Amino acid sequence: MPTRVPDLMLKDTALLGIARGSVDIAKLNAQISSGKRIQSPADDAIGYARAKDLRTVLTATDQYAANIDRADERLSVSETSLASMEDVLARAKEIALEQANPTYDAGQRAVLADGVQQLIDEMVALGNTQLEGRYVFAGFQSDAPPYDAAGTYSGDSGVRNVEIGDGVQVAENITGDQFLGGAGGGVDVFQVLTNLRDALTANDVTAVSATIDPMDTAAQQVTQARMTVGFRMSKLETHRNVLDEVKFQTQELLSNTEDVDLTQAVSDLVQRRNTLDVARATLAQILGTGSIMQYLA
Amino acid sequence: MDLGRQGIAASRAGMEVVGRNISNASDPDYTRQEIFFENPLQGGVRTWTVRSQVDAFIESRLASENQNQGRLEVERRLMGEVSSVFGTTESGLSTSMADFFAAVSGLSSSPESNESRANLLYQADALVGEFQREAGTLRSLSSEIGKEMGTTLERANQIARDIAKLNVSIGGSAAADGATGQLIDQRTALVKQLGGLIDVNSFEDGNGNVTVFVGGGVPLVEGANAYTLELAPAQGFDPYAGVQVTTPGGTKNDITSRISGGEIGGLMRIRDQVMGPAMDDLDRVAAALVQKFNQVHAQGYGLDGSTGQDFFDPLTASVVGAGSNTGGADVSAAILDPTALTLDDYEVVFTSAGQFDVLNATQGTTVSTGNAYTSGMTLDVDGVRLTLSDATGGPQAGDRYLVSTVRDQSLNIAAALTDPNAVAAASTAAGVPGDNANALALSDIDGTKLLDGGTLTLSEKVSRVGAQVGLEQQSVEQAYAAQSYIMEGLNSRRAEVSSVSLDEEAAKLIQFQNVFQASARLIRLSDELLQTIINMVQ
Repeated sequence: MPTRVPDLMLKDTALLGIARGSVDIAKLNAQISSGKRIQSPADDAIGYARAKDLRTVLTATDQYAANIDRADERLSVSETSLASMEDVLARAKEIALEQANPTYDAGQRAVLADGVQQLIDEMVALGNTQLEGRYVFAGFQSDAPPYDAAGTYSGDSGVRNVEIGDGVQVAENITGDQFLGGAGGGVDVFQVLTNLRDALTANDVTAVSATIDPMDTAAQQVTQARMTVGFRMSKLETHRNVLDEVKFQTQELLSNTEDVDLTQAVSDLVQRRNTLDVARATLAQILGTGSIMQYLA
Repeated sequence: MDLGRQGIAASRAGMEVVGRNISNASDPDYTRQEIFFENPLQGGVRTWTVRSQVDAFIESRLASENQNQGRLEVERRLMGEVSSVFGTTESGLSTSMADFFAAVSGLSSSPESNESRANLLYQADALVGEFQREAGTLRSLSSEIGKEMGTTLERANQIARDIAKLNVSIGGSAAADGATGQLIDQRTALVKQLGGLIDVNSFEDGNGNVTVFVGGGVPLVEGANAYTLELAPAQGFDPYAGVQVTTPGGTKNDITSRISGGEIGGLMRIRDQVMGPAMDDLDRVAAALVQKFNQVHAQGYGLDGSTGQDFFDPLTASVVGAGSNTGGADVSAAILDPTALTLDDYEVVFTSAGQFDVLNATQGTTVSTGNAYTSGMTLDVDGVRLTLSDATGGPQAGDRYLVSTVRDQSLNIAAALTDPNAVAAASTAAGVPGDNANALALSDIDGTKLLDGGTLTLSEKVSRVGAQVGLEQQSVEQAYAAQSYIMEGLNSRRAEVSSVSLDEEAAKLIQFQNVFQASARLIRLSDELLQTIINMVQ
């Protein structure tokens, strides 16, 4: 305990208390109004750096989610047109099976040859399926239709991988030369259809029957491709769920790191304000009291 | 009657002291005075002395803690500014970097799309802008620190001159008496104030003169003489000034390395130990990004068929001579092969006028020693070609030059591409709009540990820089808070001993008034007695 308490000392002590109290209140006020515990690195440098890192993770996660959405759109457009191709090939096979029967005459076959030509046109249109002006079966040559009217492929075999997570990629396209062109073992679907059309035009029953087996193979190739697309879509779906979870957890962590505990902050604020009120009242008392001087007449 | 006369004089002196104490009661530097009477054996008050009530131990603690206080006040203010450069948790370089690499990933997801290409260029501009903003703000802050050091030294010089003047006024009288006591108070306050600006220590000699040393042993005030503090020219590769003391004879004494306290100490510490490393780190991040991104980008093809293009403006090599160089040689550097760069700093050190060594300053290794110097020669070091030649003269032994491909990169970084179609997303050949292989390779850069000897990615390093500054700010804030309690404690202990209590003074005033009245009564009584005796005789 001090043995002497001069006037300046009393006043300074009271003033310092008020100054510290005011600083605390300003800080709590800023925390409550922004909802953030960390106003500057000085409040919690580690938390500050951590919040920044977590936001970087969130930015990347959002981008991966956007990549997944886009890949999903492309794959589902591909899937839809592969389903239509299956229908076309099924109809072509029906014609082939029917016309392999010698009971039909040349006139009927000529009409059906015309029907097959329609199917070829439909296949070409499906092979040229596009999304937002990009041809989905053209490989890297995505800016031009990969098939001409005769079904000749002008795309390439470029497989496009997209990032859907850190170090995780998924192929978002299948190329026409593989599942329609039969590159790497298989039949050329357009060739098979053209053969059928020509055989019908020529009224050649044997040639018509010869297209049945390759027609099966062609249908299998398209179905195979559709399954591949389906697998990739389900991989995307799985990963989307993973990303959602990562995002949720990251936001949770972020909130724990930088959000203010409102109940705590408000009760602190009330307490500090009471203390400050008392300090102010004390100072007023001290300054008002003066000294013995005022009792000397 | 003589006793009465002495009493009146003594109480007058006492009241004068009380008066002085009361009128200075609100001056925090004022030291209360007390009067002490000496009674000779024969009775009566013969003499009195006035003494300032000082606790020498507290005064010297206050003077040295004031150096910490001055340093911490400056450090706290500067750290607030420095850390705000790195943004909130939702802004700053790490955010721009994340957005930029998200745009790269977006490009890989749709390389045909003009929007994703344009977005990448937009994000690159934002990233470059953020680099330049942070680097630029740090640089202008450090040049402001230089100016502030100048004005602070000017203030210190003014104080030193005032102390010297007070030494003269106080003169040879060591004994504090009345008004002299106030001059001593003033001088003590000035020495304390000076300590708030720069490291000082002082002592009072037998003649009442205060001698002030700065930077632990270099005299600044000796008796009536005050020497001059001024900015010292930079010695190293950074353009930062130090501090020197100049005697009237013109002798300059560099004390930079001895200053650690006061405002000057704080200014230099934040500039050299916080901002310097932060600027270096940002430069390193920018340089690593430019080198790697350009290297991968140049391998790809744009929609317009372009290839081998830089995405960012290429790195440049810079050479700085040390401030202490005495020779007149010129060393310049140019980059031969950007992919061969190590991003390390190299030093060319002349061991004599005709020979030099090349050191890798970052790794602390020697590249080559004893190279013979001829003017106009070239030397290739890790993708950089050095050209050494005589300029205003030849080199001198001890001359040093810093060769860097990193320095100021965070300030100089700029996006080189303006045409979205030139962004090289494809890796196979020109004219394949759907090819995203090179975009994927660019996106991989984000996850590649390019910095700190292959331990940190670009983003990790950026967040590390911010965290380090934040930790520094936190520790300064804590030290400042602790210091304010120390100062509060010392100030109230000083006040306890030296500050004026109006209650005490009031009591003394009454006491002296009583003595005065009693002494006057004594004189009157003696006079009456004398009259009685005189009347008796008549």
